[in-house]
Amino acid sequence: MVFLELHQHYLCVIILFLYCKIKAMSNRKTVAILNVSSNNAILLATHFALEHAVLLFNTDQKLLSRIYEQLLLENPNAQVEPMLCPTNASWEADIIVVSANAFANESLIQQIRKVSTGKIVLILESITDKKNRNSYFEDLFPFSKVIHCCEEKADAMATFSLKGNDLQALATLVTFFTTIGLKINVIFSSTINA
Amino acid sequence: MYEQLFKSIREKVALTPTEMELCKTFFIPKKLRKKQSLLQEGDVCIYNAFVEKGILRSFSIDEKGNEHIVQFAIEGWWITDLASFLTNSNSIYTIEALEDSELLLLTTEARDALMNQIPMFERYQRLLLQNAYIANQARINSALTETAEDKYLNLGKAYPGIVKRVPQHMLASYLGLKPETLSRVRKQISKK
Repeated sequence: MVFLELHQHYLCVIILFLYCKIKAMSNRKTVAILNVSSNNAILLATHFALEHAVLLFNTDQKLLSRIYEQLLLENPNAQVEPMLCPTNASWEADIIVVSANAFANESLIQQIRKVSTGKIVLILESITDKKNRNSYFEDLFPFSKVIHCCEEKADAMATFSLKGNDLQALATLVTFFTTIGLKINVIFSSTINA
Repeated sequence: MYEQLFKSIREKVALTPTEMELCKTFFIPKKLRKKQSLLQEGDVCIYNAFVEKGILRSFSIDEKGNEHIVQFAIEGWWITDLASFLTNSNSIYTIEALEDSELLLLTTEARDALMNQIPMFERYQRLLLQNAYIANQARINSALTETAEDKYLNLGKAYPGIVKRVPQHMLASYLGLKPETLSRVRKQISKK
């Protein structure tokens, strides 16, 4: 189910058009999930792995192993793979999912920035994160399509809010999330790129 | 990451250092594993792919399940389904990596924007398409007129890198030969 909070009616038409167009393409994607907390990683990886390839990376290798083993226990057919290198994971990926907190690690940014050009970078933020850093990630990834994703709690009933200024990227993620059964809100930033 | 791309561009046009830096921002770096697909039959082709490293093939499957390879692409080559890419129609081809590969992908929008912002890139694309058209005509002529032996020998002369890296049954498919025919041809050549 999709709830759209839109400032102008024509934007609703555009995103629905792009949604239908992207759905028709039905391309299988590779998703890199980097340094995301355990619950978030499992929730997203479990859902994404139903239809897409998922590459998991965490600087904490023990946590990574634990997440990977738990995923396989819950779904032995999950298309999930642990990766030793965030650069390779991001290089292979079509969509890169990163926790906002992970960006305290400067080297992680450097490792994924060069291979994230043109790709969707989904920043996973907690609802308790009150820092207003809307342009912070856009400045870090000036040539990527940065989308902010906020969720209230990591379970199947959670609603995710997607916020960004790239309509194509938002439409891709709308397709992505709804196809795998997750609920979303879409919030457009004030500057719109179609 | 962009060495082969700029080598290919420099062979045809001249870009300033500023233009080269700008060019990089339009390409999506993508790694494909062996046997992974960039495009599957039935999907819309959204990328024109430049091969930095590795080798890809583009093929279709007929109603009997036989593969027909239309193109290989090695380092420095481009590969796409141009009809699908330019018209948003469903592709009849599958594009797959034969080795672990590193690609630079260009979407339609990025390609148009790149050609608008760097006019020399448009000239580069035009020269590529001209050469591709010439190569396609030569391939059609080869398919219609050459013997199996000549097809194989000419392929080896023109693209020795491909002949060394591609399995024999795929070369046969590309040349429009049965694998056993190609095997016989290679034996005959080796005896001479």
